[in-house]
Amino acid sequence: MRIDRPKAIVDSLGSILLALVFALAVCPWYASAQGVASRGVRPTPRGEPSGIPFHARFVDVAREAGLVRPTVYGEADYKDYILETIGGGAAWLDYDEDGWIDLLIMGGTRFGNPSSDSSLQLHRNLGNGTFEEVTKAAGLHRVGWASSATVGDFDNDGHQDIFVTFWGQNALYRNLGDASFVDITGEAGLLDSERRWGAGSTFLDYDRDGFLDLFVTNYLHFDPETSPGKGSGANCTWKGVPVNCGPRGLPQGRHSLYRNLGDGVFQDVTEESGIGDSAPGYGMTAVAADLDGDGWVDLYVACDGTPSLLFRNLGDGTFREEGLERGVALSEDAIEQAGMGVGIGDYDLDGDLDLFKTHFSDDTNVLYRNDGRGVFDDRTIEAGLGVETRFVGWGAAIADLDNDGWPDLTYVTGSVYPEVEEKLPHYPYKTSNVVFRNLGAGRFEELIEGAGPGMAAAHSSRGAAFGDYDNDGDIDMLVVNMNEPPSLLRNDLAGSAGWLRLTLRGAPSRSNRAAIGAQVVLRYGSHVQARAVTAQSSFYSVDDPRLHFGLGSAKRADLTVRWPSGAEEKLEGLLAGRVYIVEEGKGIVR
Amino acid sequence: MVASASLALAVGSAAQDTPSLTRVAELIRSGQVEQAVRMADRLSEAAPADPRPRTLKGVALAALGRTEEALGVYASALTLAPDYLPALQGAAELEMRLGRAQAAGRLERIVRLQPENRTAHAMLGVIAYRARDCARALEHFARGEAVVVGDAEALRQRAECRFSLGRFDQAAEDFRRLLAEPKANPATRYNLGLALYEAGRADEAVTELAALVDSADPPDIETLSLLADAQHAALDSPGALATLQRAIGSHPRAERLYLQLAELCIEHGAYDLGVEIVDIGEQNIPASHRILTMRGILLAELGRYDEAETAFAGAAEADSDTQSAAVGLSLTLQKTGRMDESLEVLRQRVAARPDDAVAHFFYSQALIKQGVEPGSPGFREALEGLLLAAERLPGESSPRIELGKLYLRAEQPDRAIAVLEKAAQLAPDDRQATYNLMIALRRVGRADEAAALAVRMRQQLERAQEQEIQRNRYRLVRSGQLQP
Repeated sequence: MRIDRPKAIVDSLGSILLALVFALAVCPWYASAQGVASRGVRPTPRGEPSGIPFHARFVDVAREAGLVRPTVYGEADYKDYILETIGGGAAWLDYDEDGWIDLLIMGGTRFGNPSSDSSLQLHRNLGNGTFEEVTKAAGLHRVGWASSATVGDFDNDGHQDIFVTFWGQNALYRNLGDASFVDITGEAGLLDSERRWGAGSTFLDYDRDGFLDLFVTNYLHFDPETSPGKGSGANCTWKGVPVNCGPRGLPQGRHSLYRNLGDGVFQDVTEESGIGDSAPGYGMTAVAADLDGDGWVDLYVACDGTPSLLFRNLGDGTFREEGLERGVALSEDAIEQAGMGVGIGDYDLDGDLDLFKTHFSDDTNVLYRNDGRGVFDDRTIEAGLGVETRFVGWGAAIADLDNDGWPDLTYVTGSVYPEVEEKLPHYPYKTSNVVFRNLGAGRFEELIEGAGPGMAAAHSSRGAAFGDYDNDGDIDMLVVNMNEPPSLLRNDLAGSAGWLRLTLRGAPSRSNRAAIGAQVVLRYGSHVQARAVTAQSSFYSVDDPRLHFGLGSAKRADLTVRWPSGAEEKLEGLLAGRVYIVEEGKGIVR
Repeated sequence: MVASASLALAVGSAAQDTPSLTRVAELIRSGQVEQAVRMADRLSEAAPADPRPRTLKGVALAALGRTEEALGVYASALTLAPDYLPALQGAAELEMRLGRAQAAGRLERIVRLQPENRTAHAMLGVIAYRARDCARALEHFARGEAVVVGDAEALRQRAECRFSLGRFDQAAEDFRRLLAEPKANPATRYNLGLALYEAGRADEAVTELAALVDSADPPDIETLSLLADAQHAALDSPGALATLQRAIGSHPRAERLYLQLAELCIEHGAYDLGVEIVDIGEQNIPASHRILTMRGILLAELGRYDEAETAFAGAAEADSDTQSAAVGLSLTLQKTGRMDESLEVLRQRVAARPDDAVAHFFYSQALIKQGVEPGSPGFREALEGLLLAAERLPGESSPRIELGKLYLRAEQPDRAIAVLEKAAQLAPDDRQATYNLMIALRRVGRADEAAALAVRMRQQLERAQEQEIQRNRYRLVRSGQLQP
C-alpha cells in the first residue's frame, strides 16, 4: 500500500493553490523572481489629506540655469546590460570657494555608440541662478561609467577634493586650489588590480587621526563579454518581460576601506579593519555617520537585494557588521530589499540620526527610527509611508523642505527597464518625484503635485543632491535624469518660517578640515534636531556641505557640535536667517 | 511469533507411552494433536494445580483450530499461575490473531516478566501501530528488532511509522529491505522513493521512481507527479518538466498535473509559459476552479491584474466554496489599489464561512495593511482574526508571525515573543519568524538571545541565497510538446 505524501496534493489540490496564494501575500520571493528585489508589497490606503498648507514649491529651472547637457547612461529606449541601468549621482561642492555651491554630475557612456555628451560634468555656480560648464577646464573630463562621488579635503589643504567611482577604475581628483583638479589615483595608491564596479563611496575619518579615509562599495562583478543576454534566465525577466540580467545571478561585490596615511597615500585596510569580514553583497550608497552615539563614525551601506550593512566602528581601527542585529538589514518581513539610496537625518526630533532607504517598485521605502544607541525600529507603516509602492526610488533625503522645523522625506524615482512600459503600462519608465511632508508625531503625508510641478514631472531619475544653490535660505534639489538633462528643482518657498545654516571647519591636526563626520544637535523652540556632515548620502550623491536647519517659528537656536576628533563644543543664541561658520575650538568665526 | 516458544518450555524426556509433558509436546510436533489433547487431559487430572499440561493442551487445541477452547485452557492455566509465560504467550498469540484487546495486557505482562522478549515487543509494536500510536510502536519495534526485520508485515508497519514521524532516512532503510523481499510490489518502491524524497535524498528518489515509471505502462499519476517533484528537488528542472509533460500526455484530465507544472513555471519566473499550460488545462478540464485560480495567480505575477481578477472571479463562480479564489481575488484587488473592495471580498468570505481560518488570516492582514492603529476597532478586529487563525491553523506559522508583528506594533513585546517563539518552532527556517522574534527580544533587553537569533538569521540568509541560485539555474521555455 502506498503512503500518502505529507502535505499531500493527493488529499487537497487546493493546498498548492493556497500555498501560492499565501506566497503572493506572504512570501515575496514569488514576486521577486526577477533580478531585482521587490517585495510585492501593496500600498496601504491613503487617509484624508491633512489640509495643512505646504509652503515649499519646486520648479525645474535647469534650462534657465544652463544645465542642458543630458546625462548619457546607456541607450535611452532599451538596456542590454545592468551597467546601463543604474546611473549615477551628483555632488554639490564649492570647489572654487566663492560661497556658491557648484555642481558635479556623474555621467555614463554607451556600448558601441559613445555620445559626445558622455563624461563627468562640472558646472560652476555663477551666483546669479545660472551655471557654466567647466568640466574640461577643471580637468574632470573623463568618459566612462561613473557611479558616485564623495567630496572632502583629504589632504587638509583647505580645498575640496573629489573621489569618483567608476565601473573600471575609480579616480581621486585633487583640488589644486586654482579651480582645477588633477587625477592622482595612482600616486594615492588607489589603483585596482582588477576591473571592479565601484559604486558608493564616502570619505570618513574612521580612526580619528584628522585625515579623511575612504570607503568604497562595489556593486557586482560585471563583464559585458560574459554577461547573459536579456531574457536568458530567471534573473533576466521581469514580470514576464525579457530585461537585462541582474543583479541577482551576478557575482556580488566586496567593499573596501582605504586608510589615509596623511602623506597623500591611501592604504587598503579592508581586511585588518574587519570590513572584509562581511559577506559580499550588491552594495550601493554608503553613508558615514555616528549612528550609535559613541563618538566614532559608523558606516551604513544600502544594498540591492542583499542585506544592507551597518559597519559599527569599534573605536580601535576595526568595524563589525551589525546590520541584522541593529535592525537595518532587512524589511520587517525579513526580506532583502533593493536598497538604493539613503537619507539621513532626525525626522522625529529626538537628537539622533534616523535613516530613510529607497527601494524598488512594489515595495515601500523604509524609515528606520534610531533609539539613540544605534538600534533601529522600522517605522515605515506607522509613519504612513506604506501608501506609496509604485516607484523605483533612488536619491533621497531627510530634509526640512519647508523650514517648518520638522524634517521631511523626499526621494526621486525612475524605472530601470524602459522595455517594460510597452507591455505593462502601469510600470512606466519615467515617474515623478515624491515628498512625504512631516506632520509631526512620527506621521507623514505624501505630496507629489502638491510640492510643485518640478516634483511632479516624470523622468527616470537616479541621483539627487540637496543644497541651497541660490543661497536663499531653503533646500533646492539637483536630480540626475537618465539620458536627459538634470532637473534643478528650485525651492520657491513661501511663508515666514525661519532657518539657519552652518559651515563647520575642523581644527588642523585634530579633525579633517571639511569636518566630515561632525554632528550637530540644534535646540530651537521645543525641538532638538541632529544633523551630520556627510560625504555621501541620497543615491551616490553629496549634499551641500553646509548644514541647513529649518526653525519654524523659532528665532533663536543653541547648538552642540561634536567634532570628528571627539571634542564637543556648545554655542548659544544663534539667530534665525543667518549663515554661520564654526571652527573647531574657536566657535563662530563668521 | 509465540507458539514455538510455548512448546519450547515443555522440556524433559519420557518413555514413548508414558504420559508426560515431553511426550505431549512430541505428539504435537509430530501432528498427533488429538492424542496430545487426551494425554494433556490425563496429566491435568493427575496434577490439577500444574499449569503446564493445560498450556500444552491449549497449544494442541490451537493447532486443531479450536481457538476459543484453546483460549479457555490458557485462561485456566493462568488462573493457576498468572505469570506462567508459555500460557501468556499462547493466549497472547491467539488474541492477537483474533484482534482482541486482551492481547496487549498479556504482552505487557510478558515484557514485564521478560523485558528482553523481542517477540512480545514486536507484537506490542504491531498493536501500537494498529492503534496509530507510532511513537510507542517504534519503541517496541526497536526492542524487538531481530523479530521485526524477519517479519515483512512488522517491517512494513515500522517503515510506515518511521515515515509518519518524519524519520524518512530510517523509513527508506526499511522500505529498501522490503524491496528485497520476494513479494515486494510496486507500492514498496514508490514508498521507498517517497521516503528518499522526503529525506532530501532526491537523487536516490529519482533513481527508484524512474525505475518504477519505466516498469509501468502507463505509469500512474502519483508516481509521475512524485518523480517530477524529486527531479525538481534534484535540481533537474528540465527533467521535471519533461516528466510532467509526459504525465499530462498520458493523463490529460489530471488537474493536479497542470497545477504542478504551472507551479514549476512560477518558481522559475516563467509566468507566460505557466499561462499557456493552464490554457491547455482549461481546454481539457473546463470550469476547473483550481485551474482558474492558478491562472489568476500567474496573471497576477505578470502584473495583468484585470485578467487575474477575472480568473479569480471565474474560479469563485465555478466553486463558491473555494478558498484560494476568494483570497486570490482579494489580493489582486489590493494590487490594483482597491483595498475597500478587497476587504469587502474577505469580509463576505469571513461572514459566510466563519470557520475559514485562512480567510480570517487574510482579512486581518488586509486590515493591518489598511493602517490600523493600536487600540482602534480595526486593530482589535485584526488581532481577533489572527488569534482565531492561529488557533485553527495550529501548524501554520504565518498567523503567528502576523500576530507577533501586531503585538510589536502595539508595544507588547512579551506577547510578541510568545507567539513568535511558537512560529519559529513551527517554521525554523522562516526568516520572518526569526527576525521579528529577534526584534522583540531586543526590545525587552534579551540581547544575548537576540544575538543568537541574528546568527541563525545569517545562516538562513545564506541558505536562501543558495536555494535561489539553484532555482535560477534553468529557464523554462515552451517546447511545443503540450497539446490540448
